[in-house]
Amino acid sequence: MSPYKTITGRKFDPTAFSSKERELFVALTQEYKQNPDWAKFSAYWQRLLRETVSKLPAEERSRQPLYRIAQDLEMRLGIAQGAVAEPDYRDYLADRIEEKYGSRYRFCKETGIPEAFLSQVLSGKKDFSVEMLRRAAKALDLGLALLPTGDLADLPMSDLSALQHVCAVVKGELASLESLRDHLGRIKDPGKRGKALSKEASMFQGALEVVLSQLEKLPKDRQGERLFEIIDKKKSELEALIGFLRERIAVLADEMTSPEQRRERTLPAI
Amino acid sequence: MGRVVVQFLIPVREDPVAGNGQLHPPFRWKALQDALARTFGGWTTPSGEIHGAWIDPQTKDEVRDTSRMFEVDVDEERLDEVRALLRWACRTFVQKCVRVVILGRAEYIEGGPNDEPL
Repeated sequence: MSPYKTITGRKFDPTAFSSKERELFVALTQEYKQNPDWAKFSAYWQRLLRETVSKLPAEERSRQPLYRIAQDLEMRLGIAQGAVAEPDYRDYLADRIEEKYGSRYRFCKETGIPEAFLSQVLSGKKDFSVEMLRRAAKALDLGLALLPTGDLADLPMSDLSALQHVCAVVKGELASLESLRDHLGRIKDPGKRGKALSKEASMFQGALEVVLSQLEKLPKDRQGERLFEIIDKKKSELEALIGFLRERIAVLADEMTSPEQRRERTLPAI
Repeated sequence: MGRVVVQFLIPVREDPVAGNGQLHPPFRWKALQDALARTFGGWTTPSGEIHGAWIDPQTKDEVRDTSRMFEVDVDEERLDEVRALLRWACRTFVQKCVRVVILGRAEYIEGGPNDEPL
């Protein structure tokens, strides 16, 4: 059984669970796979975990791995169903504090950050100064990075590398298509152009297949939708190139036919 | 005194006037659930998303929203704790007010400037 990884990257090891907890874990993930309404899933896991969690002191209940996993699955459904935003830096911060320090109180005591101030930051009412953010990040073994703005700016870190990979492939294929177009435009002799055409048409087809296979691999959740949105922006470039290549193919095909064939084709049928 | 059922609605988006009308990030929902579990021992969501419409008294515009309903069983003498928690929730979820039904009566709880977020 592989570790469970939350949307903020926190890991839980199900092999450390008791047999009863493992059963509950399997039930949770199976229910999640049915893609239920996120609010209904919330009621489901509350019922499912009630017996296990209710034996614990109230303040410890929400810190149980199964509770956190269930909550994470609920948020994943909420995000996929368009009812919850993607996690922002406060999600990462809150999870990391709990993972490393167990409580906000201990984290604040260690770093000297006032607990009331942290609470306001985590609720979005206030923001850390750069100095304080650096102090918090250091205490949590997190790095600070400046990332480029644009399509990728507001994505969670976990999605960034997968997205960058797909975008790089799409970008690479667009560059290949542009270079094919230029190459085709430079061939003057119709005979040579005809030969080059079949070779380049197959390369073009191959390039398109690579793009399509990348699109097919995309996950069918919210992340997939985000990727499609970004790729949609690139689509007009791709369509312009495809249109151009189709035109060239038609022109070249016309040049390659004999005058008799052309006449037959343009005269009305008897 | 017995236990009473309290139901309240939290819109899935920030108020468009008090906030930015955007969806809430996960940590807000988790903070509310943790507070309910810590304070009242749990909660339930008796239905899926709830769709509603109301007239904003400030702008006079009709506001349509989608909310989640939460239900908590509370000792009657602790109802003020529910109201306090909802004042915090109102600030955390950036709402003008939160609608709550206690003993069949609707109340609209507003967050004050001194209410600490959850």
